[in-house]
Amino acid sequence: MTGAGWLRRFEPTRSRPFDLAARVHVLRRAVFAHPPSWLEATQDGSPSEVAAWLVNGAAPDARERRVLARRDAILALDDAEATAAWLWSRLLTAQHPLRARMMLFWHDHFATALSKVRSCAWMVEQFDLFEQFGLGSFRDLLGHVSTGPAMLRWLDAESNRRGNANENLARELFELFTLGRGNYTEEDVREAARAFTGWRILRGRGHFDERLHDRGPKRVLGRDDLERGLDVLALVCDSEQHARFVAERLLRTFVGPDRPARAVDDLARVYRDEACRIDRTLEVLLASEVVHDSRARNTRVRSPAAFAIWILRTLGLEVAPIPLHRAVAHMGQELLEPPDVSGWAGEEAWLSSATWLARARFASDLGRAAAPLFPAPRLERCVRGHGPERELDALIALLFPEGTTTHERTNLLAHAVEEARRSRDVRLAGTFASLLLLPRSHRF
Amino acid sequence: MDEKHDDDRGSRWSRRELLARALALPVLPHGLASLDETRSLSSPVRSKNLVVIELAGGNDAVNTVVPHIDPEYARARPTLAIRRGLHPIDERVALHPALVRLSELHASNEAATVLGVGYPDPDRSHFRSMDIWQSGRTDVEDPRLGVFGLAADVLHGRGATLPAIGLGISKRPLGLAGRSFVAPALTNLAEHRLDLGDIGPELERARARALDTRTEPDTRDDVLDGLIKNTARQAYASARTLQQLAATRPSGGGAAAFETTCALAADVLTASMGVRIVWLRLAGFDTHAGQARVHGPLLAELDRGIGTLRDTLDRRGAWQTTRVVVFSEFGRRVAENRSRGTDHGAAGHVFLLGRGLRSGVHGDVPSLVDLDRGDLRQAFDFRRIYAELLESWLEVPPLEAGVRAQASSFLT
Repeated sequence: MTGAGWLRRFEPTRSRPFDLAARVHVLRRAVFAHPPSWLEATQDGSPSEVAAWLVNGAAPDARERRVLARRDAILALDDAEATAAWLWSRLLTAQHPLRARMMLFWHDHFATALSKVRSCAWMVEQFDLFEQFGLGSFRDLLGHVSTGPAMLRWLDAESNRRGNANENLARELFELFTLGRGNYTEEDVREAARAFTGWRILRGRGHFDERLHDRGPKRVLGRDDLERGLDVLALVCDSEQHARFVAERLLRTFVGPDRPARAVDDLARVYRDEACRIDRTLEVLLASEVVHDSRARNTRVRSPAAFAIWILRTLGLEVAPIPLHRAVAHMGQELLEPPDVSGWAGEEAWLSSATWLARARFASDLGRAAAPLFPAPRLERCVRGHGPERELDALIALLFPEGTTTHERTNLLAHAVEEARRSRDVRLAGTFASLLLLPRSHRF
Repeated sequence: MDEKHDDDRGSRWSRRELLARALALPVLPHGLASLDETRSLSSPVRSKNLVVIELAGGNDAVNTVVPHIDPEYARARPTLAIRRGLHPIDERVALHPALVRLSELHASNEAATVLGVGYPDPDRSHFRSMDIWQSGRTDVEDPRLGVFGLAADVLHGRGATLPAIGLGISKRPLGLAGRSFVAPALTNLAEHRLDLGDIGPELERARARALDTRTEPDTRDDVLDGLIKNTARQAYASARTLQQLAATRPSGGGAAAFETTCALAADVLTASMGVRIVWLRLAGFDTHAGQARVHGPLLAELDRGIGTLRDTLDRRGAWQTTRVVVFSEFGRRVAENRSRGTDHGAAGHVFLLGRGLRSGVHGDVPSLVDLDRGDLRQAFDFRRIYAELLESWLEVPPLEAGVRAQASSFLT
């Protein structure tokens, strides 16, 4: 399927080629990173073929299977940091990087915090739903997430009973998960809360208890014959506003804060035609004109997670996941602890002096071979240069295959040469950290 | 200044063009070079400071300033009504039992409670209502500028190097978002440091080069480039300033988090760093279920924090030059729900603290019967309080801070 308008397929021309810089842009937007192997795998593909490659992913390799196999051991610990660190390992080893990226996307969309849910297993289960349905039908995803124990606890659904509605879940379902503010009334919230009565947690699972349900028709969004919460969800997913809401979210994520308004309608149409299938919608989006427009490049601020994943996966660095989790939390994005149900504010809000200093510390810790936070990442393994200039160029080629400005390179080189008399490790760490503190390392 | 966003019709790619105008680059802070000077160390006249305390989640106004003599109160709150231990602050209302220091401050004429504060056509979404309270705007869908951020811009323009700071929070609140000055937000002093070890000196030079304004913009969107550079510059500068403060400050004991942050706020305000506005946040007020269990402890935390802030500043002679304003994005529904909690409401109450303000309880006690869809009606627009704080206290024209409100003078 192809879209129309801004969602029509991007057809490269001589003046607008699908070159290395273009592929790097798509990979960064879709999956944050662009290791040489991924660039190689996509080098002969058309925009559509690259989009399909991203959406199809690959099956877990031995390393990813080893990470996944630790599941029971991690859950047995029921420890917040161990769980978050293990999720980080999953994100960093995933052979289906778009699926992993969408796990983060849905964690932001259905933002749920462990500090209130108080069960690592329920949070992991929610992540599993993101993994399983995050590139499938949004209807399935919404239904499972809304009635999973993590969400029921997070939004007080357990205390939403007949004659005793608690509006929290119903309100956020409309405002943050499906429609957006202004597209429903307070009355809709109250009635939807009634429809959701009866859901509670039984032996660690979401359970619908008929006896606690408020029977009788509810009047929601202009319909007056709805009975249960899942009927409300089905109705909402059919609405045009819902398609626009999802389209807006996807555009903000894959195109950025600057985007043509008409693209929302164009993408909403694709989403409806594809019956709320996220994978098919993304396949069209990632091959489309709007993603490939030069005005979409470098317009987003890298989130802490995107920053870390870009560096680690692109360079193939392996780090200990617990210090990584802490470092990303210091940068402002603590996995499993979104600030509230609306998720992380994103974009310019990532930039504050505190979070900037955390980024600087992360960059220098990663760069220093003997950093206490990270076991030696063996930078030299991925650089293999001789002398400051070749080290710098090797790092630039990996991190910025699209190139840097002469000015940037000259400046970095000047100081690398200046420091040539220092030990190789110290010099390399300094060069590495300086590259990561360039403004261009914080946007994508 | 019109902050209204382009309506983004057709194929315009427009948002950051707006931001560009808003930021009016270049944004190098005035007097960055003089950051290390301790400007007002010997100055006999202290400048006036403002501490903003945000109660995030929607604080239940009815159980904070309790209309205990109204028989409707017990009817609306069959399990949550508080009967014992209240602190009357006038003949009509009493403070929650946990608010000991706040009631003492009322007794010593250092506190004012403004009843029924809100804005027209209240929104019951946390996010939207918080946006309104922090931007002072109901007419902008996705506000990007905050009332006190714009005020900080003005103070910055007058030479204050670090006019505003958020403490105990890792991200700058919307309320502190301005056009040119990027207010730092930090959870604690220890976090606000650069520990670069043996690569430190190199990085110092490298990052000075990276931030060199001569960097050729290689993308059309150089607004974002400017924002990133500005953040980095101010991060390095504030890290230096705060390191100096940290060097003089004994590491704190085991006090509760909010109280510790309040103590830090007092230190920052009295450290001659030129800080005029401090933003603090206490979260957890979204009490949909089991409210009694959490609300009291939260208010106790607030009360201890306020006490520490006031006493520390008072000992250092800075309490008379400080105003504190305490707000929440909305109050909660008058009738409790059956989960022994309360749902999102409308109007709430605002506390103002300081010496020399018109203390006492201002405004009529909101009716518990004549409600706005079950919630307290607003009688007093919060922007009147902002206007007063800006104009008479910080001496910043409210219009420049985006607040259009009728003048009022209950503060001074």
